[in-house]
Amino acid sequence: MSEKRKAMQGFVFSIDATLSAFLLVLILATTVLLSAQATGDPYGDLQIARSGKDVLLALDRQGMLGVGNATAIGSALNATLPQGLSAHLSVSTYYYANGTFNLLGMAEYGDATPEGKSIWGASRNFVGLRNGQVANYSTARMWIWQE
Amino acid sequence: MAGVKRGVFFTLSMMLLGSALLSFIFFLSEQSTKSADTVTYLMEIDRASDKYAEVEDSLSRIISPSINISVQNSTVYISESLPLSENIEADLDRFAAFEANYSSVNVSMSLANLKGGYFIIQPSGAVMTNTAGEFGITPTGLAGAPEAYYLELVFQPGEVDNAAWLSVSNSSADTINVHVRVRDESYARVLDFYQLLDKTGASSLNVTNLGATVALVGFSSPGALAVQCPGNIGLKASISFTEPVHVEADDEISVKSSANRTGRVRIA
Repeated sequence: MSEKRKAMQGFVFSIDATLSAFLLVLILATTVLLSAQATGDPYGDLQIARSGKDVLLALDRQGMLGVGNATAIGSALNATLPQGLSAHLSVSTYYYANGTFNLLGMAEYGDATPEGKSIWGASRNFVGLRNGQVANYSTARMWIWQE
Repeated sequence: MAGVKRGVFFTLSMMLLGSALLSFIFFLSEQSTKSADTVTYLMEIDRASDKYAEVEDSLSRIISPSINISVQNSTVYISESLPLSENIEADLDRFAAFEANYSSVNVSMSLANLKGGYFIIQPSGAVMTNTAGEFGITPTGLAGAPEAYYLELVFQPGEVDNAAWLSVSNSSADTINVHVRVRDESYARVLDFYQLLDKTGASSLNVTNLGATVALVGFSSPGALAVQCPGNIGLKASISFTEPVHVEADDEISVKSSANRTGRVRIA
């Protein structure tokens, strides 16, 4: 094999190696970039948030949020939440006096919120009536997560 | 040498294939991002619509002790204590203030007509009004006008003893079926009146106690109803139309977030 032919082979080998290395780097960089951009299933998020809203609506329509029976609310949460989801519920109740809304009390229901998990939220305002008049104003907040 | 060239061509082919694959992956990634954005926007629309429905729900709840309205297909059922409670206005104002202060989105309400007991029966376009001492339903025209009225006027015991038609118009072919029941709370006195009345004529039923008028039920063109009663009574009414209906207050709720929702208050 002549010296010239050997040099040519080396040059071609270098080009081949460079192209391969370039392709490898490109694929690795793309994989890293797309992995960084990747999010969970967005429709799953929507479904979980929707579940929270539905549960709050159901509890309100059943009159449970206003009554505040912890056992009944706990049972209703278990019965209404889709399988695999847990929730924590907080109801803040206000009364109106002297032109302002004053906090009457805050009640907590359901499981304790976990750490290190994605948590979704839902809220609902509602009024409590007594003798045909609005007696109090409440805000129910729900935190919901996958078990 | 030929083998080396083949190797280079093979690498080039792989590179082209890789580039095509990468382009495809980028395209999929872009679509996925758009899809995630769409879901985010859907969640915002959902959030605004939920808030809107939640406010409507509470407004219905606040007025329900004084005006309870429900709808079954083409019939509107109304149950009222007349005169309307003065507290409704204050309760509605406070609720609007509460929503403005304690909502995560911007909520505003204009509730002047709801406070006055002014409703529109849609899609028939009939107007329900509650002014001092008078309850009325006025269709906008004969099209889609009421087919039948049922009215029950409930008085305190001893506040009513008789009722009689002052005038009856029932000579045309275009009539409306009317049933008026006048009674006291104890059912000691129950008076029923059934009539086919002209939609375009004028008829009236006089309700009395010891000869003095305590209420006047009037029917006039085009199938309109008016109950005049200066005292306190319970009123139950049902109005049947020719087409399915719902009831709106001619007021607006506006929920502003990333997605906005504005519209009239649907009560039933």
